[in-house]
Amino acid sequence: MPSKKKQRIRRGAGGVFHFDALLMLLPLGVMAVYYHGVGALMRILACMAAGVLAEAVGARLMRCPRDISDCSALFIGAATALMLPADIPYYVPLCGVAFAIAVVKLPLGGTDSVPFVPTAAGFAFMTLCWPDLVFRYPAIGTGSEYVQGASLAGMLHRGISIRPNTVNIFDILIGNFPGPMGASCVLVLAAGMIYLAVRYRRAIVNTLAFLLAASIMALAFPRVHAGNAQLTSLLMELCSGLLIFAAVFFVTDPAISPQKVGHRFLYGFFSGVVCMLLRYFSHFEDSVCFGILIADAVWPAVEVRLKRAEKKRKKARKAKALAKEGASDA
Amino acid sequence: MRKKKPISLTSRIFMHGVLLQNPVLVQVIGLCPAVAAAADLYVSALLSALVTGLLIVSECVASLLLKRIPRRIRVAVYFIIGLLVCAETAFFLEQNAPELREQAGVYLPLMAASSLVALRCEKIAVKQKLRVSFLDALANGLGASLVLLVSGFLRGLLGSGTVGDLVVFRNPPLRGLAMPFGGFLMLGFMAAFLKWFISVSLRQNVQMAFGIRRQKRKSAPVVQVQTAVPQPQPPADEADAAEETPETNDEPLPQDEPEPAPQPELPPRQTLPEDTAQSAAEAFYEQEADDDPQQELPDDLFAALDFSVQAELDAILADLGDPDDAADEGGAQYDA
Repeated sequence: MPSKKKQRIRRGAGGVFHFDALLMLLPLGVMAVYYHGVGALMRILACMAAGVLAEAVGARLMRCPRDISDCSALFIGAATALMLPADIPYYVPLCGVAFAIAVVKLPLGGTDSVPFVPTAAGFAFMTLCWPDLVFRYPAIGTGSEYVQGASLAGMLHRGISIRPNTVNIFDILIGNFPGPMGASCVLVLAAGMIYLAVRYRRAIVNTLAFLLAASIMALAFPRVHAGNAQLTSLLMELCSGLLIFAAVFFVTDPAISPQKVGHRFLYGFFSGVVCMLLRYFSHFEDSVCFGILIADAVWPAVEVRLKRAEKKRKKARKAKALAKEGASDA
Repeated sequence: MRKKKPISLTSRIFMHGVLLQNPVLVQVIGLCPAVAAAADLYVSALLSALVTGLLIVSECVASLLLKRIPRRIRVAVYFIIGLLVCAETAFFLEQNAPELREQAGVYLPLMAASSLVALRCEKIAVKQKLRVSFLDALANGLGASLVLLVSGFLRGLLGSGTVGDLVVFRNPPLRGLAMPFGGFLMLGFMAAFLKWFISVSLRQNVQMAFGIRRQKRKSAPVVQVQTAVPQPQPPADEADAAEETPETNDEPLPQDEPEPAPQPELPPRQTLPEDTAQSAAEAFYEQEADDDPQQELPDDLFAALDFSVQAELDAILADLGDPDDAADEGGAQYDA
């Protein structure tokens, strides 16, 4: 059992992290409102309110300590809304937020010891319950009239390649393309990554390892075969769906992430590989959240073995050093 | 004060099988059909009937015929009985309700190897008389059936939008519930509800029925200081009394017994005065337990209930005559 001092340190880290994560979500929310109008703002606010409400009610029912000041409920609400299409019916994200908090976060130990990323679990729940609504993205700039747009993840899922003469790459980078309302703006996410690197030097290792694994997989096994397939595949894989969003907000969660830098790199790389494998073979067009959940479930067992191996190595080194000392004394 | 009416053995067995030790929600046995197959009301009803029938047949046969047979053979016999019942049911359904047979899929033949049947037979049937075994089978079958039916109803309604053949929702609100993960979720919610129901709503009745007394929390450990703090002087009267009766403590030891080895001198121990740490901690825990009515029951309610029920059940059954010894002897002879 961790000591009280350690618990206090972890609690503080979790609270500060979620506050910073909320700050990183703010520009994404602004971009979502810019592209999709007031509806996006209403959904974000409704989800944040639902998060706080679910935390208050769930904590009261389960008699667990309630700490809204750690911002995790607000973060879960805002992140869930930003991962979804801008015109999704309100009940879908509200159910997802309630699931993430009342079924995953509170019963499994709270912000600082939950073994899965609650937001990813909530998104997985929504994906399984409403797959046709969760991946039904509206085209941008169509006003009140709904026109379905083809997202990059959907195109990859069907093996369709983008063509450089028809699609402006800059539009993809600034999020002017159908997709999740807060997760498609790659430049803003990159800015968030820089903020993360400044605030949490170790956490950025997870993100970079995750993106490295995804990039290697995209280059090695491209899903598109038109033109310069590997570069197009790299661009499409990285910019599509929730990949970068997960790299910034999910893989760096302090409750799950290992502490040592080497372990962080391995964890990030492992998560990236699992996510990409699921993207290739899954039934859904974007299965990053399932990949994160699987990695979270498997990683503790991997980490235990890594720690054991390290201990053995240390012992062997000590024994060698002692043997050398003995030989020199003799 | 009115005297409490004693609760009959039948009520106890049913209370135990349906609520306190529900085979699916509390003992977590027989999850496979509950999670994977019970996503529709008809299939749930079929599996409920099958599991209850199978339990009754197996436990009755075990109680009547298998007491003198060694365990390794008994377990195989349970599976053979299960196979007979399931095969008959499958043939009957194929003739009369092929759609239902198809919906039940592989889970119908899988019931032949139900862990619930083997467990109840080994735990109760081979040790008790026919009546107790029959009641136990009925109670556990009822407990499992209730869970399967409620789960099937809710999952069918919310996951598929149907109750049996009746279409309630054209667009089902929670399609994921029809999947196995929805089954786990549903069982989790039902287990939480059952625990709450037992601990809150049935608290008084359960306490009365099974004689659960209030369990006080352990008092805080006595804070002892090992430093050389001078002991408080006893009152003057006590000191005088000790001086007056020194001989009573110095009785000669018997000749046969060796003289005890001298104890090493320990540093003087000083217990803090009562009005400091210990008393404060005790008062705190006492007050907390009194303030919170939920604390009157032990934290691990199920364990306590199980222990209490099992102990009482054993005592009653011992009075009725326990054929366990005879069965064991018979098994040993058979082995020899």
